[in-house]
Formats: sequence, C-alpha cells, structure tokens
Amino acid sequence: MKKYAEFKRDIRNKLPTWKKHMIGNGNGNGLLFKIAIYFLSITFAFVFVYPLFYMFMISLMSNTDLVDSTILWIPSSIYYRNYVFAINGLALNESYYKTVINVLLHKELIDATATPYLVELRKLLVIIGIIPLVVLFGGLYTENKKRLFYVSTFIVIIFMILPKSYVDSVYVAGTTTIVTVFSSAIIGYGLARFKFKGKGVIMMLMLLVYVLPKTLLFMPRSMLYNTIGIKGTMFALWVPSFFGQGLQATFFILIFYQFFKMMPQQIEESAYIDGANTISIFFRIALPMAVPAFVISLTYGFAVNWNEMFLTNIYLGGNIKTIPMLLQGLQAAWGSAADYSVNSDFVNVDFTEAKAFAGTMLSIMPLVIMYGIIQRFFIESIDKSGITGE
Amino acid sequence: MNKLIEKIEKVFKYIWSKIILLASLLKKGYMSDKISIVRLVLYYVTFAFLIFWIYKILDGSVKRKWHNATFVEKRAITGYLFISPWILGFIGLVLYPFGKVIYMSFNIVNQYQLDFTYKWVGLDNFHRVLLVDIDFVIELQNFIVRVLLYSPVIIALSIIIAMLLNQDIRGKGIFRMIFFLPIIILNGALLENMSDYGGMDIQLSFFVLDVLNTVIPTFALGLFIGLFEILIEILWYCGVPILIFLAMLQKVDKSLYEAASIDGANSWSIFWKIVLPAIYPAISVSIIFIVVFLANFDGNPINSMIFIARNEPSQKEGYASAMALVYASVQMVIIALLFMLTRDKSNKKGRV
Repeated sequence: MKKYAEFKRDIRNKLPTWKKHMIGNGNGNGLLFKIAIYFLSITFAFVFVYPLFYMFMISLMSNTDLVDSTILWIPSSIYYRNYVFAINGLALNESYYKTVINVLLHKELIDATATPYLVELRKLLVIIGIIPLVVLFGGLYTENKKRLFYVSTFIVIIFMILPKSYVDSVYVAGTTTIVTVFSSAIIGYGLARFKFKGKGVIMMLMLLVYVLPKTLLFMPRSMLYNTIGIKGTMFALWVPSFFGQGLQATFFILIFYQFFKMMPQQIEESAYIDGANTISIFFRIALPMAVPAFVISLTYGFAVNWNEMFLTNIYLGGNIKTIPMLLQGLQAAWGSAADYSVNSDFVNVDFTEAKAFAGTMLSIMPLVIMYGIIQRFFIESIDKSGITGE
Repeated sequence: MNKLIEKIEKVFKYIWSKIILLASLLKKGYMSDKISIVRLVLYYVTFAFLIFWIYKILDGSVKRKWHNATFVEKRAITGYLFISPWILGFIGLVLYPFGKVIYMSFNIVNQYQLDFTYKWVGLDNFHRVLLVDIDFVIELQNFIVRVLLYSPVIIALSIIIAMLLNQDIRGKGIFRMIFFLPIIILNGALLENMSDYGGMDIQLSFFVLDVLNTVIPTFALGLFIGLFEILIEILWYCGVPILIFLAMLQKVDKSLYEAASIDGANSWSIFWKIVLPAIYPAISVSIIFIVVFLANFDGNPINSMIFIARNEPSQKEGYASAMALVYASVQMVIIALLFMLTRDKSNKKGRV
C-alpha cells in the first residue's frame, strides 16, 4: 500500500513533464504531433509513388505471372523481355550517331520525301550549334571559355550516344523551352522595368490568353502555318514560342515579371550612369540575377513541352515522333516490335500491361534522371523567388 | 458582315499569295536534289542581309526621332520594344486565329488540296453541336462536374501537403522530391496507360470493406471506394498548387506564430487566424491554374473529340470550331465563377 502511494505520487509529479513531452504546449512541438506529421507525410508520399512502384513491379513480370492469382507484387522470376519489347517499340535501339552518318553520307536512307531530311539536317545543325552558342553566350558571364568549350563538347558527344527517340524528344522539348523562356524573360523585363501606357491592359490580355483552351486556336494556327510553309518543321513550335504564345508562356512571363519587380533598381541605374545601354544592362546585370527564375521556368517548361502530345503532333505533322507519342502508339507498334524469338512459350509474346508498363518506365526515365540532378536547385529557386502569380 | 470578312480574307490571301510565291522561289533552290549545308547557310545569310537592308533604310528617320525624344519617352519606347514580341504574337497568333475560328464556326469548311472553301450556314454548326449530336454535350457536362468536384479537393489536399512540407521534419528534401515528381512526369499517355491497366486505383482489401460495411451504409461505401479510385489521379494533379501554397507559406514571418502562441493561441486557431488568411490570395490563382490544366490536359476526352471532328468528312473544321468555341466559353464561365467565389474580399486590410 505504501508502495502504491509512492507510485501514485511519482506519477502525479512526473505526469506534467511527460504530458508536455507528448503533447507539447499546444503549438505542435510535442511528440504525438511529430508522429502524426511523419505518419501523414509518409502516407501521402506512399500514395504518390504507389503507381510508379506498382508499374515497376508489374513490368518485371512475364505473362504467365500476370494471370497467376498467387502473385501480386513480386514476380516469380525477373522477366526482362518486356523491356526488350519496349526498347524496340519506343525506337530506343538505335543511337543518334547512326542517323548522323545517314544524314551526312546516305541521305536516301532517311526518307523518300524531302521534309524529314531537312528536319534531320536542321536538328544536326542545332545540336552541333550548342558548342558555339554556349561559348558565345557563356563568354558574357565567365572568362573561362576553354571550360565552356569542353562542357558543350561533352554534351554534344552524349547526344550522339543517346538513343534516337530520346534525342528527338530532348530536341523538341529543349529548344522550344529555351526559346519560350528567353522570350518570357525579355517580355517580363519589359513589363517590370519600364513605364508605358496600356500596361494594365496588356497584363489582362495575357491572363485572358492563358485561360483560353489550346483546342480553340490550333485549327486556324495550323492553317496559318501551312500557308506560311513552316508546318511540319520545328519553326511551327519555335515561332509561337518566340512571340510569347508557347505552352504556359504567360506563367513564365509572370514569374519573370515578379522576379524583376523584386530586384533593386539601383544597380541598373548605376550601370546606366556608368554608360551601359539597355541591352547590355539586360544581358549583363538583369539576367544573371534572375537565375532562380530561369531554373524554375526551364525545368517546368521542359517537362511541359516534353509531355505535350496534342499540339506537337499536329504542328510537326508526324515528322518528328517524341517519346510520349511513341508510348501512345506502343500497342499499335506491337506487330513490328514483337519478339518472336522467345523459345517455345508464345504466351509471353502477347501485348499485356507488363509491356505497356515497361514502355512507361522507359519513357519517364530521362525526366526522372533530369529531375534527380536538378531538383535541389529547383527547390532552392522556389525558396528564393516569390512565385505567386497574379 | 459576311462580305466584309470575305473582303478581309481576300486581301489577306492576296498578301499571302505574294509571300508564298517568294517563299516557293527561294524554296525551289533548296528543296531540290542537291541539298547541302552551304545552301542552307546561304538562305539564312540572305535573310539576315534583307533585315540589315531594311534597318539601313529606316536608320536615318528613326535616329532623328530618337534624338528628339525625352528620357521618359525613350524609356517608354524601349519598354514597348521589349514587349513587342508579345504584341505581335497576340495580333498574329491570337486575334487573327480567334476571328478565323468565329468565322469558320458559321461555315462549312471544305478542303481541296491546299485551298479551303467556305460555305455560309449560319448557326447550323452550333445547332448540330448542342442539339443534334449528343456526345459533346454529355462530355461537357462531365467536364463541368469534374472541374467543380476536383478543384476543391485539389485545393484542400494541396494546402494540407504544403503545410506538411512547411514543417520542420527530417528527410524534407526526399518528401519534396516525391511530391513535386508528378509535375515533371505527368502526361496524357502515362495516365492513360495507368488508368487502362489498373495502376491508378488503390484496391482496398475485402476485409477492410467488410468492416466498413458494418459501420456505414452501402451507398456511402460506394462513394468511399470511388474516392479511392480517383485519389491518386487527384493527388497527381496537386503538384503546382502545392508549389504555389508552399511559396506563400514560406513568406509568412515566423515571429507571427511566436507572438500568437505567447498570446495563448493553439495551433488550430493559428491555422485559421494566421496561416489561412496569409495563403488565401493563392487559392484563386491555384483555381485558375487547375481549371486551365484540367481543360488542356491530353487525357481530357473533349480535346480528342475536337481533334477527331476536325478530320471527320461530315464535320470538318467548321463543326470543330463551333465545338471549340462552346467549350472555351463554358471554361471561361467556370473560371469566372470560381474566381469570383474565391476572390480575396478582405480588401487587403486584415491581411498579414
């Protein structure tokens, strides 16, 4: 009895500290609160990655595993032929340098018509043009031109080794994004730094254009491109991007507008007094300060342009096939890509979800790798810049 | 009105025919068999020279005007020059196509090789879209219901996730990386693949369903299962709204929380009195983003419907543009409605 009373007293003495430890002072610094936070975060994170995990596991199964009701998650043995099919179906089995050789030496192998040949030639010119562009533009910001040269050469060599359809997608998405972001930076700077009449009207019109669905204008635009003669070439994507009508362009313009608004104007004024003109102020002072806005809009714009199928398909007229388009036609490509050399079990040749998921995994792989490299800068930039729109 | 539009068309066609003539003359050289990089370069050099020539002609008068302008005028002119790409793009790639869409929607458009012929039919296309063919109206209803149901759920979930990410927890970088992953990888083909082959719905186990069935009635259970079927899809749409809310949350001064807690507020009232007013302006921005995203997403059946109608021999561009116009106006009405509902009405007085 005496012991019990002691125990009771002990509890009564220790309860407040214990309670404080568990619940905290009501401001979310207790242990229970922390546990709830972690539980919720982990649950949401699990739900987010669940489809990816599911797809990855299914893509490793053979067709016999798929119909086996005892196998839910882990395949009986890892079946890599789904990926062989997907590599054939997404045209990932040929490196880009072979196409380059065909462009330079045997152009009859590219296609019978002239347009894809021209498209291929322009692509080659742009990809090799990375080297002088990087050296010239980077020369504005750094003295070490040799390093710029090496880095750009390295990028070009990597492009040569990559599979052709990856290079196509990166070419379509990358060039369009760069054009869009560059023009957005110019327009955003113009809106943020200069006083002129009708600025409010222009901002309102910009929001109106952003709200318009893409299905509204694609028909007359593609007719227009047809009459000018740029439909089926990359100019059908570059021209609207340059004129501030690319995908999500208004979003990027507003990001740059917000960013340049936040920047102190005194630096530019002092540069002006030192005798710099507007263009050199823009290139040498404004742009280097807007690096976070560039990181955000380049990353997001690349993803948006990569994932766009509808407009890219219509404007390019099928001359360049990007990865998402190939993924959509994966089932239709089954006839040509199916691998009949599987010894004796023809069950596994049929098109099932395992093959579709293998294709999906391969199609998102470049984006995931890019995001893995860039995500730290991406999130840092979000912290630095106030992207709230409006 | 019809004649006026036709006249404008004619003038435009005449100008374009001249430009096409010029382009074809230039093209003949470089579309021929002996295509070479040298010719391509020559083509671009010619173009650059043309621009230089035009500049030379304009140079004198422009320079004189520039020297007479005041500093403010000069700044304004420079500003107009900076945004001139957008103005040109707006006139050429938005206004002109928009007029043409309206014109086409009153016509039956036929194409013979490269020439388009227009036959005026009045409101017939709209009549067919809205009252005769029934598929589009049903899809439109589905779209409206989807937007009105999805957007509040997306907003609520993204506020919750943004609050979670704003906490000081370990492995924040990993969580952020996971939550922002859908922004990067989400596209129509991917979502189509996943929803077709069952990667998108979390299947509740029958045991859990049985237990739930004893507690709640069957129709409510149906709703519950339905929610879980679209839960991942909804969560994957949350990416950019999370980003916007997170950016807003990080702007809130930390000392405000301390001050409130010293005054005796708990985290619940801090959320309603400080956090929510601070991020409230972002809600209308996110609503606009979500509606535009849902409308333009490749998985949206209306987009493919308009695309198919464009190539259908009995419908063609006229019918498709009537569809697109109806769709656009419905979307505008939804956005206006949701924007008015979620607008910040506090007049920026009580805002933190």
